[in-house]
Amino acid sequence: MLNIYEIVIGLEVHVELDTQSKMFCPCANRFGATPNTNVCPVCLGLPGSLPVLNEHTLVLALQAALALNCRVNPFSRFARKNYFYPDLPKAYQISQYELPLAGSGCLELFKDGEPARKVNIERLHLEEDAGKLLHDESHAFSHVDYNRCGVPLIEIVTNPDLRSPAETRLFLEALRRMLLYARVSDCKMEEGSLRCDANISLRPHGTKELGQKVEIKNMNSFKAVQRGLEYEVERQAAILNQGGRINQETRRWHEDKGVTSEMRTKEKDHDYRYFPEPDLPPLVVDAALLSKIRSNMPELPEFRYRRFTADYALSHYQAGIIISDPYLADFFEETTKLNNQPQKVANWLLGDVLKLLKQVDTDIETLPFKPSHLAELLMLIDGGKISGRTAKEVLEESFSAGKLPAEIVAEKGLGQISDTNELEQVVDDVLKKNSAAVRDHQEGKKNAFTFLVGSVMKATRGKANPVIVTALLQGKLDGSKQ
Amino acid sequence: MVGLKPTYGLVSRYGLVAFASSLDQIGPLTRDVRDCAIVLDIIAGYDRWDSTSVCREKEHYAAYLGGEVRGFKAALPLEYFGEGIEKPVSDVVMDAVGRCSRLGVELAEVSIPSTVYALPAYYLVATAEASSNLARYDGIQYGLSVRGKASLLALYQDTRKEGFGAEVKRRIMLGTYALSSGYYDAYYLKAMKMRTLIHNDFEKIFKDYDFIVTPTAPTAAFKIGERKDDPLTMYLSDICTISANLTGCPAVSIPCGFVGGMPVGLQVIGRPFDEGRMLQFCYCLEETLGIKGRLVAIAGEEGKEC
Ligand SMILES: [Zn+2]
Repeated sequence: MLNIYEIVIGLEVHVELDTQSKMFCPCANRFGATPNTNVCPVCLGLPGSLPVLNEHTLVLALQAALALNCRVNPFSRFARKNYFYPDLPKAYQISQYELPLAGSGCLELFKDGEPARKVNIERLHLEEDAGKLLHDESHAFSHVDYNRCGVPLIEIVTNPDLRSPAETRLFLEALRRMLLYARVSDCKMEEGSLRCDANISLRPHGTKELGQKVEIKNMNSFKAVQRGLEYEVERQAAILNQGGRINQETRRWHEDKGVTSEMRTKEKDHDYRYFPEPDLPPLVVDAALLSKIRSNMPELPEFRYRRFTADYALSHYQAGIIISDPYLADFFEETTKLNNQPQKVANWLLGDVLKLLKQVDTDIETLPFKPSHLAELLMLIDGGKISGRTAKEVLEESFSAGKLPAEIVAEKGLGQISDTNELEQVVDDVLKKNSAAVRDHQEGKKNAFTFLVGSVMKATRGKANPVIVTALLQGKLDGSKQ
Repeated sequence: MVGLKPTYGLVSRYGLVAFASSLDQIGPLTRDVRDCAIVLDIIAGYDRWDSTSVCREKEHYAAYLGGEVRGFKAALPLEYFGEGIEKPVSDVVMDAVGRCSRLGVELAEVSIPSTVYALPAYYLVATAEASSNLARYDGIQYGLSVRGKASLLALYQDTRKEGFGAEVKRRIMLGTYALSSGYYDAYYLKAMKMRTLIHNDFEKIFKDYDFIVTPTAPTAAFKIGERKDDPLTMYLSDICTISANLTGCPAVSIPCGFVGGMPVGLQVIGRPFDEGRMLQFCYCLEETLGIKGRLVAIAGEEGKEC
């Protein structure tokens, strides 16, 4: 029944820019600080204070605009968005309205390394964040934390180009990746540095006219976006199927209950009374600034993908996973620089390292385990100092504590025994104690040899170099035959 | 009183409680031109905490005083001496202007057709910006907070109802209306266009003239407390001075004579950042008119009445 409708989705994405200080004052832009400690007269909107643009804000916003293939407007303006709310101390938000920083961009969605779909970006503009209300159920009042007030944001508005909740999620993941690559934000939805509102409408397949759209807010993870939109598709389809009409409204997603509910209707919608911000001069982006930004632009994912498959001979599968996270890609490249074995590095990263990351549920950039650690670990294996199996043990140990692999090997006595004299004694001992197996071997029983190798490994607690053990056993057994 | 409204951007607005951000400018109000120059010397200059502050070399304004004014060119716009200006006032101003020509100042009548737009443009821009600037007095963070009722809306409404006076409320309502969706183009946007027209007219005049000389107000000074219940007359009394605000040009007002025993102001509007020569001109005029003594006497009597 659902598939008689085409789903039309457009997004408004807010992204906090990763600057040292806030957008219009010198206060620190930092998540998680004690409430109301990163504030000053400017971001508290005290009478007489005035905004001064943090230039780095503009640099990061331009990096984002270029990463999203936007046309940058050489002349744009700040505007005041007026509304009353306790988290907005000036009772207006400095944003951009008629003349945004950039427009007409696009983001390509890839499938199996091939461009699959293009989502157009209508506009990208700068604005300041508001504070945060903290509701305390035990009191009849709420607290306000102004630390976030004045933190720089970009708002990215897409065209209504998305056609399903799943595709919307894919788009958001691609957008996050692109913005991580452009080094403009940490894009953490759980910390609110990436937030997303969606406009969604349905229309019968084949029609051109857009259906009545509904705005959905409060979807706080990629999964929530997909779930919220899936719910909304069903809700709207049910109304339309009964011959009903969709109301123009804003709805709130409730993650716990898995439903959306009415937040405000069109009649109660804000009139923001935008007008040009008189306290700030127009934003002028001349060709010189733009070309400087362009030449300092961090490497973007497609380029890196091509480079990784060409320069390091990674498979499309390997490159695809490694570039999906810029920090993972950095990790790969730094490790490879140290040990020059891209295939081995890729195998370890995609195998054990990713598995461990998932187990401890953390990001690679915050890990105490660094590229130098992995390079050292691989060197220990190559030098025959440890076996592959021991290496896994060392990796686990080094992973969370950040201890150097060589140190762990030395401390725990995990080093591989490659000393022929030392091993010869063990081999002799094993042969003496297992005369039955020696006999079996001489009678041609194949698994007897494997058993003897295993016994040597057991006696050395897995540290014996298996290549040397095999050679020694072979020599001794052949010798005794003659 | 001598009053100077400096060029927009010459004096930092940081710390100034904003009314209309694109018009607000701090200036000295002093007993005479010399004091005015001395105060300006101190308060003028670039401030990196005000993005509209202009970075330029610092000037020494008091040093201009006493300089020759021969050869200065002053324009007398017809629109500022005709309808809406009390005849005795324009006569006193004209009389003072006549003295200027004897000092060697070249005078000529000009026309500034956009003058008619100044008042509506000013009251739209000023009220619109004020409605936004005064929105922060909402009772949440500081100042008066009327918290009798449980709802947030009631807190806003009661605080602002009690805290603001009638004139402020009137301006907030006018400005809110002018910015409302559906009215923005008809009011605020049109006001910005009028502002550009006035700006262009002024630029044209300043190609040929150093100053524009006009009455400061359509009437002589009114007594303290007089007329405050008649907002329209109060708004109209700004008619001569608001063009300087809208264009950002500097303007000085000095007393130039008397009507009915009360002083009449003469306004000199100059090119942006030409405060030095304007003060030089006003200082010369002040010396020539020689009415300081009588002004001090009036000020004394007005003071007694209060
Ligand atoms: Zn601050």
